[in-house]
Amino acid sequence: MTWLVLLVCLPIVVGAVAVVTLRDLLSAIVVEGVVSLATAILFVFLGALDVAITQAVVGCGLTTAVFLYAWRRIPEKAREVSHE
Amino acid sequence: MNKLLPALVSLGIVSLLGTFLLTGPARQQLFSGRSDLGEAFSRRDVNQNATGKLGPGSRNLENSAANTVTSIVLDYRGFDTLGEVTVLFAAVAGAGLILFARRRREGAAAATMPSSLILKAASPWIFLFLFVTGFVIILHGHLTPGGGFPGGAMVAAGLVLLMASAGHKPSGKRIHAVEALAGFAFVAIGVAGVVLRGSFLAHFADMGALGDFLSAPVTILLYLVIGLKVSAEVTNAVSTLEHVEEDGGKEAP
Amino acid sequence: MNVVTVVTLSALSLFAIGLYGIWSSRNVLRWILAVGLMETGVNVFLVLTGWRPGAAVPIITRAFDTAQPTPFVDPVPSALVLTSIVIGLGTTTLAAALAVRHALHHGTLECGAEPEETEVQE
Repeated sequence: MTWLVLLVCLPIVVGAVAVVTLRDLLSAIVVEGVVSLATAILFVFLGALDVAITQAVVGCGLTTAVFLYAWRRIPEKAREVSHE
Repeated sequence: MNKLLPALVSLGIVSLLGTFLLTGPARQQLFSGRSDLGEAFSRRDVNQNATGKLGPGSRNLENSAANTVTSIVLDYRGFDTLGEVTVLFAAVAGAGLILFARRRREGAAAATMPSSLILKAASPWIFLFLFVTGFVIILHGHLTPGGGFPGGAMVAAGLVLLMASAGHKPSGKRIHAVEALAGFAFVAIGVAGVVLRGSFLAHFADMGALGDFLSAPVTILLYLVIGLKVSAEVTNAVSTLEHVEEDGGKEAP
Repeated sequence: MNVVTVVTLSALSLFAIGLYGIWSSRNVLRWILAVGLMETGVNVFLVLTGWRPGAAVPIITRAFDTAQPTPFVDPVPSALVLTSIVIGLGTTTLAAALAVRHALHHGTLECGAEPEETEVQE
C-alpha cells in the first residue's frame, strides 16, 4: 500500500514542479490537469471516493476547460512569459 | 526575478511543518487512526432508528442514505451546502460581471474557430456519455459516491463540449431560469423542513429501505436541485468566458 | 515510511511549490495555477486526516450487515473537501476572468513589476 501511494505521489510532486517552472503556459495548464488526476487517484487510495470523483471531474476536466477558454481570449502577444 | 529566496522559504516550510506534523504530539492528535465519527457510524450509533438496527434494508432511520458522506453533506451539515451553493453562484456571477459581454445580435458572426474533424466526429458520442453518466451520478448520490456536485459538473462538461464543437452558445435565458429555479427550490425544501419538522433543511419525508434507489427522498431531491444548479452555473461561466468582447478593455469602468 | 508520512510530505510539497510559484513569478496565469496547487495540497492533507489503516469506504453496503464493525474512513473531512473543491472551481473561474480582463487591458499577462519596466497601454 505504501508503495502504491508513493507511486501516485511522485507524479504529483514532479508535475507541481513542472507547473511552476515551464515557460510555455499552455503546457503548464495541461500538466495541472494531470496533477489533479493523480491526486484523484490518491484520494481513491485514501478511501474518499466522493472527493475522488469530484476532484477528477472538476480539477482535471472543468478547470482545464476554463483555463483553455481564457487562454483563447488572451491576445497572442500577451501569451509569452518574458521576465522569468 | 529572484528565485533563491522563494525556493529556500518553500524548502523551509516543507521541512519545518513536516517535522512538526509528523513527530510528537501533533501526530498523535491528527493521525492517531482514531476516528470517532467513523467508529460511531460503523458501531451503528449514528443514523439508526428506534430498534437500533442499521444495515441494508432498515427503515425509518435518521437518514436513510447509504452513502454516509452524502448524509453528512445534505443532512447533518446541510446548511454548509447551502453556503457552498451561494459561494459558487457569487463567483460565477462575479466572473460574468467582470467580462460584461455585450449582448450580440442573433446571427452575428461569432469569433469562434471552426472545430476540427476530430471534435465534430467525436463530440456527439462523448456528449451523450457525459450527459447520461452525469445524470446517473446525480440521481444516485445517496447510494454511490458522487452526488450533485460532480454529476452536475459532468453534465456541464458535456454541454461545454457541445458548445465547443457546434460553436453556438446555449440560450442564456434558459440557463438563468434553470439556475434561479434550482436555487429557489433548495431554499424551498429547507423551508418545507421548517414547516413540517421544525428546523431548516430537516428531512421531512421517509420512504423505502436503506439501499433502495427510492430511499431518502429529500436527499434525492436536494441532490437533483444541486446538480441542475451546478451544471447551469458552470455552463454559464464557460460560455461567458468564450464570448467576451474583443474590445472590452477600452471601456473598463 | 508509511502512508501518513508520504502523503503529508506530498501535501506540504504541493503547498510549498505553489507558494514558490506565486513568489517567483510575475505572470497572472501562473499565479492562478500556483494557487490551484496550494488548494490541492491543503485538500490532500484534509482528506488524510480522515484515513486510518485498513478502513473501509464509508458506504453502507451488504457486507456491512454481517461483518464485524470494521472501521470506516471518517466522512466529515471528505464532506469538507468536497465543498472546498467546488468552491475552488468557482474562484478559479473568477480569477481566470480577471486574468483575461487584465490581458485585454494591459496587453500583457505580467503584473506587479516596477513602473519603468512594463508599458501599460491605455
